[in-house]
Order: sequence, then C-alpha cells, then structure tokens
Amino acid sequence: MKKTFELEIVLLQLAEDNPAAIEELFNYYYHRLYHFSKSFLKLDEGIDDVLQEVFIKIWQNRKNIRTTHTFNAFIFTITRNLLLNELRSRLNDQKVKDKIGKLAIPIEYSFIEQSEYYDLKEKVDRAIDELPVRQKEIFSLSRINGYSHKEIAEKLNITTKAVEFHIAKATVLLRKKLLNFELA
Amino acid sequence: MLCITIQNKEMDQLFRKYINSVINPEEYSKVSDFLASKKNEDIIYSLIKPHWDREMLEESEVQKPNPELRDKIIQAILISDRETVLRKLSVSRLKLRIAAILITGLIISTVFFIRKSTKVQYVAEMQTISAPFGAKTNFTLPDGSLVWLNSGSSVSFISSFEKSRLVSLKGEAFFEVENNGNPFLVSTEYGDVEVKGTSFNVSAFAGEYFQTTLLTGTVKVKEKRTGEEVSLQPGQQAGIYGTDFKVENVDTDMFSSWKDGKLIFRNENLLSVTKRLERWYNVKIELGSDKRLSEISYTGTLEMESFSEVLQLLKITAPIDYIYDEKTRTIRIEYTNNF
Repeated sequence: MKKTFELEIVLLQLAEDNPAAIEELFNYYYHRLYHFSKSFLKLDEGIDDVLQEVFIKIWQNRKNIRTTHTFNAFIFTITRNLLLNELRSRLNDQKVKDKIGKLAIPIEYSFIEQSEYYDLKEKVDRAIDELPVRQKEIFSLSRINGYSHKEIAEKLNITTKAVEFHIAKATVLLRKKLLNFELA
Repeated sequence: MLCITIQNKEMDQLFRKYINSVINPEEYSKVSDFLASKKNEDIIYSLIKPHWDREMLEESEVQKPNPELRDKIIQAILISDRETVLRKLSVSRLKLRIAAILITGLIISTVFFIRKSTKVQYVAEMQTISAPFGAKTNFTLPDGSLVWLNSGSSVSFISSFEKSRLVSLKGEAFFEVENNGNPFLVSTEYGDVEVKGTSFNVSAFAGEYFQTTLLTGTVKVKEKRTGEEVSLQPGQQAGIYGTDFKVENVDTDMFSSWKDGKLIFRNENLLSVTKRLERWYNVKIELGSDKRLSEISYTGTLEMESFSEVLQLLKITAPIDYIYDEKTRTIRIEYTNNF
C-alpha cells in the first residue's frame, strides 16, 4: 500500500505548529530535492546541509505558507536560491570546478588521453557518426540535444531500460573506436 | 532582444546537457562561466524551473530515506521554538537516566511528538536539560557520556540518541564522550563539533565568542557560516571571533575548570569577567561608562567564594568600586580614583 501525501492536510498541520508536518514534508520531498540538487551541484557533499536549511526555512516561514500555491512557490524559490549560491561559490574555485566538470562531462571524453580539445571533440564526433543507426540516433539525442534517458524513452516510445541499453552499447563501441584512433 | 532570446535558447540546451551530465568539455566551460556569474541570476532561475517541475512530478521509485538528517531537522526546529511546541504538545514523563543532580533548580523538559509511520506509531522525544543562572549540573547521557553543564546553558537531544548521537547546545558544557564507534556531534548556533571518544569543552553563549577546547582525543570543529572544518589536537582551541575562525594552543584548565567549581581568569578584561560572574552567581552587573574600566584586567582563581567575597577581591585588586541593589540584584561597577 502506498501512502498518500495530501499537501493541503500537511499544510494545515504546519499552520498549527505541528512538527509532524515537517516530517511528512521531509518524507515526501527529501529524495526529490536530493535528486534535483545532485543534478545541479553534481557532488553529494553539502547537499544535506542545503536541504536541512530548506526544511528549517519552511518551518520558520510557516505562518506565511497557507496555500499549496504559496508552498510550491516557496519551496522552489528557497531551494533554487540556496543551490545557486552554493554552486556559484564552488565554481569560483578552480579545483572544485574541475571536480564538478568530471561529473558533468560524459565518459567518452575520458577514453583517450586529452590531446588538443578540438582534436578530441572531432574524434568523439567522428566515432559517434560511425555508430549503428539506432545507437547513433539515441546517443545523439543524449549528447547533442541533452535529453535525459527518460525523455528519450518518451520521445521514441520505448522503455528507459532500452535507452540505457543502447547507450551502454554505444559507449563500449565508442571506447574501442577512440582507442583505435589513438593507435592510428 | 532577438540576440538575447537566441543566447537563452542556446543556454537552455547547454543547461539541460549540464543537468543530465552529457555536456562536452568546451560547453562545460561555457555553461560554468555563465552559472558562476551573478548577473545571469534571473536567466538561470528561468532555466532551472522546467527541470524543477519535472523532478517534482516524478513518482519516485527509489526511496532515499535519511533518518539522521530527518531527526536533525526535527530537533533543530523543536529547539528553535521550544516554547511554542511545549504549549501545543503534551509534556510528559521522563525516561532519562540522570546519574547525579548536584544542584537543585535543574530544569528538565521532555517534548513528545507523535510520528505517523506506515508501520508503527512511533514516538520521538526530545529532552532538554537546562542549568539556570547561578546553578551548574552534570548528568549522564543514554550512551554513558558525561556532560557538565555550566550556568545559563542547556543541552537537548532526542530519544534515538544511541544511534545518532547528536546534542544541541546553548551556552557552555564540558563533555566526556564514551567511544562506541558512532560519531558524537555537538551542534551550536555558530559551529558543530564532531568527536568519537574524547573530552572537550564547548562554549557558545549568545553574543559571545564560540570556543571549543580539547583536553584528550581528537575532535573536528566545523564553522556553521562558512562550513570550514578543522581537526584539533589535545591542548588546542578553535574559536570563532566575528569572521575569524582560528586555532590556538591554550591552557586547557582555564577553559574547563568551571566544571570543578573553579573560575580561572588569566589576564581577562573586566567586561568578560563580569559576564562570567553574572552567569556563575545569577546576578546582574552593570559597568559604568568610564573608558578606563575597559583597561582593567584580572588574573586569579576563584573557588567556592561567596559573591560578596568576589566583589571585595575585584575591588582590592583594581581601581573600582561598586554599589549593590538588593531588590534588583544588580551591581553597578564604577571606576574610582581612590585606589
């Protein structure tokens, strides 16, 4: 049995200063917020600190949060501001910036030794171009259009698992091709 | 206008690639420069929104529970407005093992709140132990760790203490932590202290400097504001002085002897001395406006002295005089030339 989450009821509890409301909100939002924060910050460290602040801010502002509309706007604004502040300060540190880059750049760029960047990109593009048709189509939707696996699955009307399978296969093939280029 | 739209459209795609971690190195350097600049804030806000909306609609398959963080948040909000919560919720029986209560006037409060869970009804309790002004106390935490609580201070923790050992401190306390493999965390308004098994003193009075002094073992101290972290060696002290966060070697006795009933001053200025005396003896001390008062400092150890004896000592060792108002229990200290 899946527990239902009724935001209206939880907001009533919140208005009555009932801390159980924060608990309900935490249970419902934590993993969503975590996943969102991770896609934005890339690194796990520090996410919990940001999210703790989000929930405490909700509690502190409970008197101003009456409707689901104000709540949705509030939780978005507060999370967004905290995350952007955090990311901005991290990107100003070259070391951290490189660390984030490693997580934001897909694996095929690490298959061969960084020579010249344009050289590398050209090689990767050429290797993608030589992929079998279906793999190339799916890989391009990911790497060129930037869609998530789920979005690609919806567009092509296949399962997310199938998308992951094609991408994994394409990645293996790319690795082979790129290593060959390097030897050549 | 047109060029802005085109640029946004390009950024929209780059940002999506960044979010989905499929961005190439050249694009990453472009998007990270864009994100790092404060002047792009409004555009970034609008880029974020669709990703947020999608994430919030997501039916999550994988639950990612984090009971430690949940308890930490609940505890933080309970402490932040304990008064409100106390009014609303039933205050009930205590389950705390108190080893010894040395001084009467100790206040213990327990806050219950019921948590609805899919499986069982679960009761989380928060317990707060306070030492009012003029009193000190010590007690044993459920995991066997010892706490000495100084005057005007309070310590809170919740019932699931043994697994996630988190205490919240207002004021000053000395800890002797039992090492059971789980980290022990002291959280204050200004900084957090993380330890395993060790003894240390934390002082975090509102409006005064935050200081953590280590006697044995090791501790990690994290400043709340910046997140900066340091590890202390025995004999070291981490302090937050405005925006300064620094580590110094200190005479640890000076910072922990209060638990043995001693007040030690080493070249301490009058203002700081009177603040400590106010808490120690539960009195109010006002300082006159004479600037020369701020140049007076004291060195000495007080042990079991009565307050009038202490005032006498202050008076004979520096050019000051005082008037005591019985009714308000206020002492007024003035500079005097008859010294």
